[in-house]
Amino acid sequence: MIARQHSENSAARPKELSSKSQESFWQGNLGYPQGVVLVAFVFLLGMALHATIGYRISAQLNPVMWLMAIIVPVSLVAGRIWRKHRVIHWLTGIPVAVCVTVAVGLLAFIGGVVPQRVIQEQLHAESIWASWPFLMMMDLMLVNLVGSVGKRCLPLNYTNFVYLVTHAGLAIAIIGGAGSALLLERDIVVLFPGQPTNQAMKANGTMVALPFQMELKQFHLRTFPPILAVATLDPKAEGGVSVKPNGDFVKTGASLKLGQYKVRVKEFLPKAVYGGNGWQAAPWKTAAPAAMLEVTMPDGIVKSGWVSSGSVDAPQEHLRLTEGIAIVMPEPRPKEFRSDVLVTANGKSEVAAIKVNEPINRAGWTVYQLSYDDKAGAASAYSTLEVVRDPGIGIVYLGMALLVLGSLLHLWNGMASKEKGAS
Amino acid sequence: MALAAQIALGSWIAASGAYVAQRNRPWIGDLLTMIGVLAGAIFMTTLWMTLGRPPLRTLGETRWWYAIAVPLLGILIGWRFETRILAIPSCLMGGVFAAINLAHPEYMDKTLLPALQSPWFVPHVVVYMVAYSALGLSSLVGAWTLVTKKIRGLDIVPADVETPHKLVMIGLPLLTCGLLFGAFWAKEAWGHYWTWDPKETWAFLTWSAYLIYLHVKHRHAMRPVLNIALLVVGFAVLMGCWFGVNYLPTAQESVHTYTKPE
Repeated sequence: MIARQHSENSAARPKELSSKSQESFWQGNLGYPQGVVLVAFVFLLGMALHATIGYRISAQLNPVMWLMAIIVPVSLVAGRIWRKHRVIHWLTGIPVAVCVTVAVGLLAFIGGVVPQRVIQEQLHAESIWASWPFLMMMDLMLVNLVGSVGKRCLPLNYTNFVYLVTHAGLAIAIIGGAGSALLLERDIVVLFPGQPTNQAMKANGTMVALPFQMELKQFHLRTFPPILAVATLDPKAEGGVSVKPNGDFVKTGASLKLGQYKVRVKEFLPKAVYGGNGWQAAPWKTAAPAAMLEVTMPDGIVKSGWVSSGSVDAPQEHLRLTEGIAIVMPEPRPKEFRSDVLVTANGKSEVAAIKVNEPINRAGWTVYQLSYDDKAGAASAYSTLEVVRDPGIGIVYLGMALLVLGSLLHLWNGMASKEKGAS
Repeated sequence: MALAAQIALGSWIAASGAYVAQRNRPWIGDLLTMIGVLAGAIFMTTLWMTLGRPPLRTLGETRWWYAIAVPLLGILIGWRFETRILAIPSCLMGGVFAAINLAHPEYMDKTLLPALQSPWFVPHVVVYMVAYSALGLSSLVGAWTLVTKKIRGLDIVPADVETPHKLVMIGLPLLTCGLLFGAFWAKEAWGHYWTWDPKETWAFLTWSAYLIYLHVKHRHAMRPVLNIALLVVGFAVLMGCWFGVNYLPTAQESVHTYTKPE
């Protein structure tokens, strides 16, 4: 943004106004003090709505959308036509922008510091973000943003274009976000093999029918190779045990250093079960990784034994070194989990692979891989998917794309201005 | 690998000294700074290859990116705008972050959880780290100027804010892009672009803090102390977003907090 030296008529103003009447407070030059009063009024209005209507999201978002549907065009037109009017000029200017951003920031700060559970218990609210004061404040921000867009939309020179792209982008993203909050559907589908379903569960526990059917054909889980860790009994640690891992993956022949212990992996079995003859390789989904270790302690004593992270069909095993110290194998971390799902939509069936970061789209819905039975691991009997329908996403993406464009233009302007800095 | 990190730290400390002792020959400081950046880049490349994944996952890994980006940005901005004011603060800041990492090395966890295996992962974090570097440097330079001038009994003038402001004009657009890249990624990974997760909330607060600075600076360019004060507040909020949120009561509700090494 091009730095400008603005006149500070507002800074010289308060002294003249301080001794004047309540009426002149609004009749003189409008600036930050009036902005604070406006924001406080909107906040109190929000609190009054909270006290009367309450925090029910579905009941309150509809009026907010109607309010937006009115204030957006009105602000745009008023910002353009009456841009020189003192009230409109102030309402769409920097003092109100700063005051409302501070107010939104303070409300967001509460939401960022106080746990959701406390807000629900103490304020009887779903969250700060769906509360009347926050939504009213966002409406005021929209008035300021959209009005300023109307004010600056003409003449369409480069400076105004950059201004419009960022401010209109943010306004569009907020409008789209409000639409999303109202229209978004995020439901859960739990799929079992051989049990096709079109039923999804909403957050409140009710079931909803999807316009397509899904059936789990196979669930795949790939894990990273396991690592080793030194576990020490420590009353101060979480669960009474302090675990210090080594980042190296376990493999046959590997020599690792775990703190003061030298560890050699004599044999590593990626999939093993414990039988009468000890640990043996077994190509089963329910098997667990196991490793035969040789550990040299600082005093030269060598200890050998098996360690395993365990699974539903294999016991967890650790190698005890001294009283309260052992080498353990933490549960391997998931590398990829994927559901092969038979999807039937509009009479057409096909198997689709759904994994994290790679959702699929069907009949206006997006299907995401969410979770599985992490205790059973690769042998999970089900896969949990999330189905999302978000009609407002296109508007949000348009706003975000404009913001990215505006940011890049600002970056270009920032780098292109070749004034010498202070030295 | 650790040797490269130690060379980077040593070079930045030596560069700070050179900028003071060899004021008439700033190229010595520049050369040492670049040696440090090169050593840091070698360290990160080796770390990337050793881990088999982008070293952007843990708090310590992001600190290394920051440590390298700050001196690099300091020298590039210095050349671009012909100012030496960034030289010493950027080397010192890079050195402090490198020293923290060398004093508390994290264990090398090679795993990368499925949610992080996204094309958005690298651009999101790298853009954020460069933005953090520019914004951190802007606050440091602003505060440095304010304090040194106050000690010497000199007036703070609007020109004192120009270099910090140039850094904000680089950092804030990148911060915006980082924020939005994260939103695009979240939509792909979790089904929604914005859930007011504590980390997201603090990212919003950071963005808002710098937007407030920008608007106040735009209207009140003649109040340099106020502008610098807002930059310091902005950086405090940024630190809250980067480190502080991990220690808040809301951290347990977040899916975005950095992996805590044992």
